[in-house]
Amino acid sequence: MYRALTMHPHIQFSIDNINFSIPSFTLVAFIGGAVTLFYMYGRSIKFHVEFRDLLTALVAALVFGAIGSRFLFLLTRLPHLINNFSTQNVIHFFTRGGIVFYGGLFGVLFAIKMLAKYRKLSANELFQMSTPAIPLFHSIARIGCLLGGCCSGRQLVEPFVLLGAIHFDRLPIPLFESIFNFILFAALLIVEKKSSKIELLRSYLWSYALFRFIIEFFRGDLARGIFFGFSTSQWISIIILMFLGMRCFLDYKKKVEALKL
Amino acid sequence: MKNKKVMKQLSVLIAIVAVSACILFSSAITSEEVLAYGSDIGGFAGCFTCVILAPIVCTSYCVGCVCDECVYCVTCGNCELGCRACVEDCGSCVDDCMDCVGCIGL
Repeated sequence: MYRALTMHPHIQFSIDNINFSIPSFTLVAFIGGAVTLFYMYGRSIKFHVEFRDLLTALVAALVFGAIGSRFLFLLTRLPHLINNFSTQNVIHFFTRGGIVFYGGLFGVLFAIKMLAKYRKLSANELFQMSTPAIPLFHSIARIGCLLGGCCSGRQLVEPFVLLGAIHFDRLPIPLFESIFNFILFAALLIVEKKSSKIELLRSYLWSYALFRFIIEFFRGDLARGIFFGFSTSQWISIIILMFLGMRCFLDYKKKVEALKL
Repeated sequence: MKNKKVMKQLSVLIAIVAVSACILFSSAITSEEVLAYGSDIGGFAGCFTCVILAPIVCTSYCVGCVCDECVYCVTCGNCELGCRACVEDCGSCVDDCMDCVGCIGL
């Protein structure tokens, strides 16, 4: 007897006649946030970052991450919004619309950069400290997507049976992303252990952007928007990869010139 | 001394998590009707997205019917596509709803 994997957008229960209905994504993201909070605390001790700075960084990351993820969602809906423009619609989209991971990521990176500038800390050190927390949080949050039924993959021609018990009608993309992010988290820690000189943020962005670009081909929720054959996230991945490639080239050029001297 | 400092800082973090959890759970208190329908306005994804965004975008992409439980869509009366099928054929929505996937986000 197979059990189909179904969505559970809300987790509902009653305690002493009090009914609770929590959006699954919110609950899972909350758990992810709590885990990340304690993990970051451990990292802050290792990197000798003051507790006050850690708390400021976390609050700033939360605020800018939320704004960024909503803002990018808003941008993806821009044509629709222009055709149906009203202040109410904009507010409604911003407060009740979807969220886009890349927007959140850029918001978090911006928050860290600003904090470093404001508190006169080393941005590179802060990025080095924070980077593993990104895939850690992401790996947990994607379980929320799986439960919520969003970010789904293509419909399979024939259901895929996992461990002889659960069958998937669609590719469980959020599950793949969750597993990938967890492996990436572990890999970043190993890389850091082997050489503290390697920029973790760069390694993370290379890996995730490449993975995201590929996995997007298997997504089934086309309504998010396809522009010239690629989704929004694929375009952002391309821009990230090009930017990183350019940085690598410039670094290499600098090294060669330094050797010549 | 150092241990004391760490304990103090950890207790601040635990307090932050505890207060956030209280806010989360208190905002999740709902009525029996909502439990019966299995839905509420205010989710992030899946069929709820129709509910959340309706009537603004619902006709362009009703969402989330990866679900076998489209009873959720009952609360969404604004869709003309996708989830409408759930409304009309509630409880046996799978085939119809496969067309209306298009969850927004992430």
